[in-house]
Amino acid sequence: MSRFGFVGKRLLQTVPLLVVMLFVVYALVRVAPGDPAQTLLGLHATPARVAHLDKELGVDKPLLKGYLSYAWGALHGDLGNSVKAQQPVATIISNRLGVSVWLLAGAMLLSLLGAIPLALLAALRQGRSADHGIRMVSVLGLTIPTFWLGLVLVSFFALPTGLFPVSGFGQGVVGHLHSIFLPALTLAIGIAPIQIRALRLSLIGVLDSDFIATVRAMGLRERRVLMRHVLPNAVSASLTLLAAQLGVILFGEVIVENTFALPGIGQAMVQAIIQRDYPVVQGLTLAAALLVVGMNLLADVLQVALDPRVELR
Amino acid sequence: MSAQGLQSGILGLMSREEREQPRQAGAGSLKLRTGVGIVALFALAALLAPLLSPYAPDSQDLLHTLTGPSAQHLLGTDVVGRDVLSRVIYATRTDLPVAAAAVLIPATAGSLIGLVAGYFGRLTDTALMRTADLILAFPVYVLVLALIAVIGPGVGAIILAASVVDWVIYARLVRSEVLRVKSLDYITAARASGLPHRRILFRHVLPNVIHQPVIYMMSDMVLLILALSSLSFLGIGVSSPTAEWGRMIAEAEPFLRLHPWLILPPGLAIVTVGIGFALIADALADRYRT
Repeated sequence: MSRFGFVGKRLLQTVPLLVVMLFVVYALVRVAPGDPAQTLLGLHATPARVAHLDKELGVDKPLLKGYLSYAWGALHGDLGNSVKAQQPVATIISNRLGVSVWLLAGAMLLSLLGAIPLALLAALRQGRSADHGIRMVSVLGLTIPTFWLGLVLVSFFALPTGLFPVSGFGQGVVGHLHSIFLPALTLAIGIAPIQIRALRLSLIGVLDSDFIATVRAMGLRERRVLMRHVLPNAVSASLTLLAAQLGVILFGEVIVENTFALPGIGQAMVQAIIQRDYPVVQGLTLAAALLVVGMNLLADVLQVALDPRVELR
Repeated sequence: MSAQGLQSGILGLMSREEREQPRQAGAGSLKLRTGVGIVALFALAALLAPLLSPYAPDSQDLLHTLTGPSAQHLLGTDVVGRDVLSRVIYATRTDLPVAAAAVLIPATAGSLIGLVAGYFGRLTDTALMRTADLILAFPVYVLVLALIAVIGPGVGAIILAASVVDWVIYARLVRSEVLRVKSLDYITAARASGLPHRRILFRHVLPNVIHQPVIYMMSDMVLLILALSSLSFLGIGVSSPTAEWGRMIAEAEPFLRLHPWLILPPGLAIVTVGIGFALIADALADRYRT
């Protein structure tokens, strides 16, 4: 199959997935116990207001009809209106997306900066104490709750030294970077252990492979072997892994944004859950699902584009 | 997420290359003993909480709030004068059973589904795998959050949401093992001798595949304890007067500046019990997969 055909096929495969995802998100409000509008407005709401909100939420229609109109709206960027904030859900997302993307990008970057050298070191010193130490630390890293790590960094580092702000998003690019650093570091420490573990294995595979033996035999200096031949493999492997981890990373975003009072999408999600603001929950769930599907698609396509050995299926 | 890659990356589940590395003799059993010891200590604390705790977990002492460690209160007191040590001990009665329920329910259901689907194959199998693919295509934790929003925050919602999502992993795990075992000679022999399917499944197949879900359950306990405490910290899990580690940390958050030590005991409890389960998972994986 040609590469172009592969990308087309992969894109087509996601269409039924998206249809079902949209349905699951729409069905959320239909499986809610009781009448969602009544739950939202409380017992003292007038029947007229309840009926109005029922209409707004689309629960007055038959299931399929309601789904189709929700899907039609979503395709046109209309995700309904927040019940509590009197704002379109799409506006809430676009207002808050920036913060979340900064955090996500920062955390991914920091986790790669930490994981790649550590994994490389562990792979080069395989079976020795550096390797064991790095593996122990990475198991430990997986058992640390992200929110707690964030608070520990705040109370024993940021507050005593005053070097970093402990909440908010700051002003301008420098302010953003300054206030995003600790949250991104917290999230990165949550991501890195899995990266280290997986990368270490794939690096051991690369270091043992024939082509590395060949370039070594050709008399290339070790430094150049690592930089030119081993490292690119590592980076491409970790990008694929990051896409696969994205679902877990997004949960980390929700936690970190709430720990550091960052006005991003994760903060809106928790508020919406507490207030039972169903349209917002639906919209954010859909956005997250789309992001994950899109990133995995992108990772697959990139891998095909970058690595000619990948089998096309 | 591409679940298999990620899951094998998370705690314990090791790939072939990792398994085939030489092990130091005895390291496995030391790991297992340490892990079991830690978990047993926590289980004991849960059972004997009233005997071990110096105070009742919710008895307030408004004259001695935020005292810091002292002879009367080994880990100090919180903002309404409750004894922190007693609350950390009592929290084992919330965190451990809730996490265990949220692991056991999907593990049992998923394993049974995987067993049946793998053994009988065909339509059951296809239906299972498509459903599994769909659930895993979602960002799993976001789906859990959405379900909690719909059901309403609380312990029940967390257990239900985790079950809806998590059974898939067990079903896939068991199914692939059943496919391997099914083709072995002794199963063919059992079938040829006319044993009923039910007996073959539970007496001959199940005992040979069950170690897989059990190993994963140990890693899953770590993930569920983390999820439960995180959700409670966010205010959408266990709600306030109940002693729960994540909730305790949330209650300590407003006093970070002056009383940072308050967040340490519950956080360290989470990390310690997590290490216990992770060690068990690791040691079992070493033992069963060589």
